[in-house]
Amino acid sequence: MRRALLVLAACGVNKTPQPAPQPQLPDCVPRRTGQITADTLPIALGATLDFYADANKPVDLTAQAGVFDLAQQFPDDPVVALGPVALGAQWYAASFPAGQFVVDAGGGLDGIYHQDAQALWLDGTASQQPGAMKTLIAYPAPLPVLRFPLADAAAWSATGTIDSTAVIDGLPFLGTDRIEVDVAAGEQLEVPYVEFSPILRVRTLATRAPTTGSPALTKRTTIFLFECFGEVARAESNPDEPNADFTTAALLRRYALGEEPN
Amino acid sequence: MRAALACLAVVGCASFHAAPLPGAPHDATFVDVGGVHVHYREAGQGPAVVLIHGYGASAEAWAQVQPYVAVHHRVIAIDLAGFGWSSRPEDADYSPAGEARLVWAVLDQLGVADVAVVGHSWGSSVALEMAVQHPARVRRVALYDAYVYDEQVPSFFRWAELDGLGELLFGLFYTQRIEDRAPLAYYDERWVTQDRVERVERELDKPGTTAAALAVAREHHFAELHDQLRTFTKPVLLLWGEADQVTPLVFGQRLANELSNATLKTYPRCGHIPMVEAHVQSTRDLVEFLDEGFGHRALGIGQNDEAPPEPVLIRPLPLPKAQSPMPDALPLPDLATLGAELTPRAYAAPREHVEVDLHGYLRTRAADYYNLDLDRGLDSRGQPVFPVPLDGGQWLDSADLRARTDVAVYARGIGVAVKARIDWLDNAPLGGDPDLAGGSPATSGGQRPSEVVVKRAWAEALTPAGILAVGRMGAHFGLGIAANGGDCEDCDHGDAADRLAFVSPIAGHLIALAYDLASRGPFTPSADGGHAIALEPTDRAAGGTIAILKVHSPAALARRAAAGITNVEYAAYLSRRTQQNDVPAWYLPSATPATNFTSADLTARGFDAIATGAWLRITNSWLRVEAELAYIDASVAQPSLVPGAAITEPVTSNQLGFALESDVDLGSARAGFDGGYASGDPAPGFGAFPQPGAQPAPPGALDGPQANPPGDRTVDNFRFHPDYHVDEILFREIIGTVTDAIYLRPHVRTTLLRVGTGALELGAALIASWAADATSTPSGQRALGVELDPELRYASRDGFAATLDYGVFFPGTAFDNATAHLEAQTAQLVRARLVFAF
Repeated sequence: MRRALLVLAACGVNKTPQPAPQPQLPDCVPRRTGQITADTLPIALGATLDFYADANKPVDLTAQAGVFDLAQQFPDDPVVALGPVALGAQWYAASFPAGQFVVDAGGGLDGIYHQDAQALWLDGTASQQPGAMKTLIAYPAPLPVLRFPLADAAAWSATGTIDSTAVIDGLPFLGTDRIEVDVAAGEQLEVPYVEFSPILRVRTLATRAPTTGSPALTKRTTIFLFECFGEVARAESNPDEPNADFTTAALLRRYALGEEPN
Repeated sequence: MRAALACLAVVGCASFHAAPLPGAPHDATFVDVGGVHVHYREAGQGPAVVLIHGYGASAEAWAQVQPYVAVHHRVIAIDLAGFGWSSRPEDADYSPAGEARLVWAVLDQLGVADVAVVGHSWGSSVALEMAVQHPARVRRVALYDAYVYDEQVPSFFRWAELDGLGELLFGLFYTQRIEDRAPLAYYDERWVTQDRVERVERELDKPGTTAAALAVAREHHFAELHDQLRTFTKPVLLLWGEADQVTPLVFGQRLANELSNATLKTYPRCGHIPMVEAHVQSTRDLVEFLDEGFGHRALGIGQNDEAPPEPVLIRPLPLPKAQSPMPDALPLPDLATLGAELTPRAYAAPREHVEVDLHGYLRTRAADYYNLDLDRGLDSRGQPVFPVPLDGGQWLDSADLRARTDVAVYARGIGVAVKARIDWLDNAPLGGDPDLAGGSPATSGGQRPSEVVVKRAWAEALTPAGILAVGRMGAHFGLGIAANGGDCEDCDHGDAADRLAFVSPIAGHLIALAYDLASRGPFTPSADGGHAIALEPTDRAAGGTIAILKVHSPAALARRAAAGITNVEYAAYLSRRTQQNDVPAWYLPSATPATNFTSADLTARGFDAIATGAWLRITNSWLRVEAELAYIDASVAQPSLVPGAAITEPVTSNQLGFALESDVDLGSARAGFDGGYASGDPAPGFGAFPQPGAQPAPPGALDGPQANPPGDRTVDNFRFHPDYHVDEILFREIIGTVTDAIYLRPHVRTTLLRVGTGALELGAALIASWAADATSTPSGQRALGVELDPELRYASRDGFAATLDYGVFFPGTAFDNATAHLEAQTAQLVRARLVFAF
């Protein structure tokens, strides 16, 4: 009855606001060509994929008969949603005039990128929060973290300068960031409930070398790329990992399809 | 031997019946001649006249003529061998010549020396045989709508001449669908009363009839007769219905030219049976012809005691809504309509010319929507439950236009039709195509041209065993909750299937087999570009359907209702559709148009679905109860639409839908109770229109995919076809259709005013609804709300209808928004619709 008396109660201003614009999903369907170009690695700002995000997990980054098996499930697999967001509102945005988007790099850091037909470029790194302990590294020349077209046996290296404008954890830092990248094709990647095929494995050895003082630090990262999706799995090593196919991942992310069965 | 095998295998043997038929009237008169127990009816005194009925008929055909002829004549109406109450011995001669000899033998026994012979249809061939056998004993001949040329013989009879096939065809089909065949004999269907239909059915039920009818049909060869007629000079009167479709007038004109002393009389607005449809004039012409030379006075036929009966005024059936200007207000399952108008042609003469039949309408609608977003804020996806005006107000509106034509082209000959549905404007928004050459909408000079949409195009062919149909045709079943052809006056969509179908009338039912190609592709052009070649045969989504239907045409329903018969119609189908592989790269909305497809584009699908449904309709002059049940069991081995990203868990579906409608004629009003159920799925959102690749919806969403593997691997919500309308606001506009819901819908309708051919009606429906799964609603509560939908409608049989619908929806707690602390508010809608049908 109360509702019945409210036939005209809804006059005037609408209490329902306009919806926010929905992320524009890219026009991309995998053609499974074994190559990934800038067109098949679209950046959908605002769109996210779910990932199982684990720390310190055993991992096998070698292919068995062309198949990479990252399907092992862990009882404490947390799911996080990750995706590129537009660069603009962040505190550090002005430091990256060429940057297009930002991706959560873990550890409270953001990676700032832009992409063109030649490469996915890393413009720098910044802490998500400003303040005394902030981090801000803006490479004068961006690093090509992925060179297009990505295909089996591709390899490259690049060095980015960390100049006097950079601060890490609130302290000034001078040095270089060097990446050495190699690409291998795989028939298939298995993650929980999903099999991607074909897949490209991209291994990166990152070396941060100060100009003076403390020794260089290295970290190995292996990511698996699938057309249109982009990164569907990532394993990061502990510092100074000697093994290119390391077996313990300090960070392990794998594409998560959806909610778990009860 | 082949005949025996055929009849044993399929229908049981159609046997003759040599003995007197059981059940003959106690006062029936018989003579035994040549082994045939011949029934005849005699009346009057004077010069003898013998009346000879047509094929499948009896002496009863002359019931309205015989009394007038008998005033001055001794009239003998005979049941020929194989017909009426006469026996059906196997060794009888069923040729026209044999039947003629039989008649002469009867007349000999009755002491008739000379006679005037009157024949109808095929009986005319017997009459002419009598004339050539004993021209001296025949004073004159009168023939009604004669069937005396080989060119008149339908192909069904020619097929039946084949040994074995004839037994099969006649055993299966000869007695089927009389109620649909009978109207072909009449210009005005109102003459086809239920009593007449049942009389024919009783006639065909007599023992030995089918075997005798086949024997007669195999003797439909008339060339020799015409050779002999050249010397026949006695007066002949030809009486012919100008609209005769069984034996068209052109044959009357031909016969009038062929006979040396013939006069042709024709009757407008009259079909194959002038004795009924042109009773007064044709009987007067006959009597005058027979009386010529005897000096009798003319009779006052039709002015005194034997006036033809008024055509039965067929009482309209109680319809679910107001009288519709659209044809076929009670749609049949579409498979039943295939070739429905062609089937009677199996027993008729070929068409002389190409004929075109055109129907359609122009419909314009306008609606105002008030607060259909319910002022309840955004759902958990950040979306309103209905679009919000850009200016933040409460009103939205729509107006559109559809111009539809349904065209059927009938080829020359027996039974080939090509049909199409063409929408010249298909729900085109009014003002939606402004010509912006002037620089802005405000200065638009008008509307730009719109595209023509061909929604259906298919062909039907009449075969001896049924109707073969192929093409893109409407798909509708029962009430239309699962498959809906979109034929209703306010429909938006409509299903069309690329289908090969065969429909056959067997054992009082229609048996239909159909093969549907739901999807194929991608394609590559042929070498000359003239046609497309599917690149992969395993990616076709296709399946078969078998259906059994017991249905009556709308005309037959009305006829039977007027006769006080309660009609029980029903149908059931079983369909299976499969798809082995898939090529999503050619159809996904996110796909960049691709051309060079490779094997890498092929992905496994493993789709396998079985759909079954049943429909029941009970109608009589004051009641309609109609229900449909649909069930779908499906599995998709590979639910991923993304090539190369395979999901290792299958998705399954078990969906159940049910709808009930009823109408009771209360005299001053019609009232009824409808209800329905569409199974639900516990996933968030109703899942009414999930988009391919859409992200799973969080709890609190209005819509979203119902499967979210690996945790949720089921899609169990049944979705009513959106053209099956239950209300105006909730299911039609907000959710989009009935799914995951239960509803109850009492309704009432009354006629306020009748003016000429039109009527003004007022109706109202009250719809209360609940979610089947509370987890599907935006708030997690089950009560969807209550809606009141009054309607004011004027409809005329001339084809015009104006309807004004109003709806007010009081949302239930299912739409409250606890997150935003907003309680869903009332929504209203006004919709006007004008239809001009032809």
